[in-house]
Amino acid sequence: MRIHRTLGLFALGLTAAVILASGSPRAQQHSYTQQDIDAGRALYDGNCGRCHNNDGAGVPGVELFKQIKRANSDDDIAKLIQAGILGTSMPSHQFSTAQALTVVAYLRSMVGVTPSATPSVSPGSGSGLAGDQERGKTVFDGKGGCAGCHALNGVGGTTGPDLGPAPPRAGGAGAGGGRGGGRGAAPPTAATLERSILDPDTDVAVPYRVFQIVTRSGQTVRGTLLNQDTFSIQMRDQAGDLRAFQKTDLKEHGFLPSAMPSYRGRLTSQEVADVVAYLLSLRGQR
Amino acid sequence: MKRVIRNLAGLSAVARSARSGETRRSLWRSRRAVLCLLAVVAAAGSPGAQSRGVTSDRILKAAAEPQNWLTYSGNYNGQRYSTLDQITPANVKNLELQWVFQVRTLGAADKYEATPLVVDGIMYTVSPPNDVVAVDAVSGRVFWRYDYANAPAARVCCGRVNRGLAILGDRLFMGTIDGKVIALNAKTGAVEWQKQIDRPEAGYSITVAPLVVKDKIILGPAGGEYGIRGYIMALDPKDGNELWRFYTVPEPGQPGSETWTGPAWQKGGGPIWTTGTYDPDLNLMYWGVGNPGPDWNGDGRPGDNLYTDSVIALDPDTGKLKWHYQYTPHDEFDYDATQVPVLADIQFNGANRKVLMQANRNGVFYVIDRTNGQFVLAKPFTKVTWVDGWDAKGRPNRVQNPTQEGTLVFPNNQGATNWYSPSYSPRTGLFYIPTWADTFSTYRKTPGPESVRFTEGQMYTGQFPTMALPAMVGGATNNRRPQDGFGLIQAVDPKTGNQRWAFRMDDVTDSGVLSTASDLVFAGGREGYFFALDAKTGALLWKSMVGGQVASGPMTYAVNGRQYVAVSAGNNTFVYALRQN
Repeated sequence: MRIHRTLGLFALGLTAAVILASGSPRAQQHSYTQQDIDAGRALYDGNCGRCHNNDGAGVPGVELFKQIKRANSDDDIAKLIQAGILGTSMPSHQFSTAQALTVVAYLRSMVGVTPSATPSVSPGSGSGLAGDQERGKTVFDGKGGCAGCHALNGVGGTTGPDLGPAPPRAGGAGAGGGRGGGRGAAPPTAATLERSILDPDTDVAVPYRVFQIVTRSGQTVRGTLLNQDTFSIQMRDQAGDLRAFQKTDLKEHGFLPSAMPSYRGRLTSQEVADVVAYLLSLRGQR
Repeated sequence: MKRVIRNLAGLSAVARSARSGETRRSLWRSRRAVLCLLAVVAAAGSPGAQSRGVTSDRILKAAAEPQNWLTYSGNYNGQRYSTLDQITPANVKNLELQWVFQVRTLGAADKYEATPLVVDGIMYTVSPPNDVVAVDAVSGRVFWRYDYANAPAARVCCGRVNRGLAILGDRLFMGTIDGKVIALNAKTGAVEWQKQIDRPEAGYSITVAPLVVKDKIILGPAGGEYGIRGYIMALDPKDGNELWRFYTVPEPGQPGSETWTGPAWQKGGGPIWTTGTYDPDLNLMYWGVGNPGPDWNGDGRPGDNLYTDSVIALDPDTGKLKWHYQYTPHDEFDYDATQVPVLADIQFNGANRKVLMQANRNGVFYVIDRTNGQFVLAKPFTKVTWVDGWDAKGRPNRVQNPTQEGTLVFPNNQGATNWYSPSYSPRTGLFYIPTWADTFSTYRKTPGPESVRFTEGQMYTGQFPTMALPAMVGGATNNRRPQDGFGLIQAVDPKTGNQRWAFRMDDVTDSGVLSTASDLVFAGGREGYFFALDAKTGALLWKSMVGGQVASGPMTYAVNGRQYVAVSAGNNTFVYALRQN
């Protein structure tokens, strides 16, 4: 069984954490508590998010969750936040040094978190059924066949996102992937996980979206959509080549439906709740 | 010299009507000669070097000189409709780039939002943050340039922007992001006076293009994300002295104060950042007012929070409020009502009505009786979920609020439209809206006022809502799904609010719209195309890839009988005209 959407972030978070461990260009100076990170997140949400967005990438050429080009040490980043960058759009901020450092703590905690889909349905409450994580594991490995496509921490199928928990973030920021997650992703909840199982097509994580064009002469090309506008399409095909098309030359173009089937009718409501409980338990959530 | 200039104006008028190339060329030669003479005299500092200047009477009758663009919206009614008709649906395919003006100062989150002014062959515009330039509108060559260094204390929520200048006499007026108004000599670029309007360290900035009404300069501060208390003010064009001020958030005891609770009014927001309109017959100005503060958590400001998210009608002589209409009472979605209130006289149920039309950030198209503020019509122009109807007085029945777990709301925080100027063509009777279609945000708040702390100079907003689209500036690429939202230039029939046609774009648009008497509509979008549509059908007639997002209102002007179309996009101003053989 493959679970898409927010869960895709677990895998990405893991990758990022590995990259971070293997030598980030931004060496972290201080260690931060979860309290620091939460305080920094609140300041970021109120003061920075409007331009930089929830994924840190709202300003072209600036990706706060990957790299800060103009500063390396935490203290320098904090100073930059306080003073702004003269001659650019970055204003000064009336933060104390301690406050600015909490924002740095938050940025550090977000390294590698990749943009995901924003839910286009309200974060509802789900079925409300209490799940049993032990039964859920049985369904995951057995009846659901989830492991055929989804790995848990690198063990298992690779067609869909790895659903294992990301290791704790630098500075002890708790489980990765669950926090942040791009333009608006919230920590996965029972409701969002349930939706991913029942309506996998609702929100497919960006790296798992397959784009397809069919030319007027009948040629089909599949791959990753890189860019599009009203008149043209730029993509990387499955062979890895860059391809550009004028829409007037195409018979059709668009994203393919999710490769993951809906489990509505395949699993009972209780079984779905059990799988959800199992996935949450992997991340220390209930 | 004065007589010569008046003759020059006369020649221009003749040139407008003249269609013979020979006549145009000879007129051009004589005009160039006069301009040269003018320049020589100006250089010599002679007191005779006075152009006829832009009197308030000329602004009042701007429709009589369509070759010029004398105010932010072209004239007082805000229609962005030009009677210039040399460029037509039949020949628009022959549009050709004439010149480009390149800006040096744009930061990554800045946008080039100003609409230029054109006065008798000279274009004046502002590049971010506050650099002013006067260029020859025919060649793009620079006459003078004024660069302003903002104080480091300047802070703006959303990139350093300026939407344009105002002109009166021979003076240009500009607001700065560090809270000043500067008057420049239009001939020399020299500063004639400057006035500190408010404190930049408290988040007060000026991004609006001022509006000249009679002998007053009208404007107000931005800063709705910093806990400011907004106002509209009138300045004396001679020296910048304040003549009156109307607070968009009333203090206790004033009418409207009953819509606030406790001290919330002191930092209640209500910024002014898009230029209003004016009806000289009624002697009323109309201004859209921005969001209440804090943006996304209203728990500390119970009540409707007047006059945030409202359109207000003010007497320009006194600043007295005549009426108001509030689009989004007790807003927690950041639905500023700063969109240009467009004025027109249209037939409504058999009667001619003086109306004000606004396509609002909250996703709804409104028609209001501009004589008295009476509600006439409200109709969503894209997917809207926060409201499910209006009572007879136009009060919305709001059905959504931010919650702790998150509420998914259409349209998104950036809005179904925003400051991007719409257009109304009295010829087609259609209202053209730059639209962010089917966008959504999840709004979360920690209930209770204590979750949003106020510190002067810091943002005072609450929790930034989620969005599938970058709010401020388009990204380098767009690989989003159609269901994440898309862009439209759409035509709406103001009598019904029904959509007549829509031109769809894969990305959203921060472009204004220009319509012309030859039934063309010009607009663009984040994808970097600038294009012309058939005003009656929406059919694409011409496009040009300008390589940067169009985040300004296109405008048109004429010099020596030749019509030009100008648009600022990315880091440049692009000017087009029909190819000459």
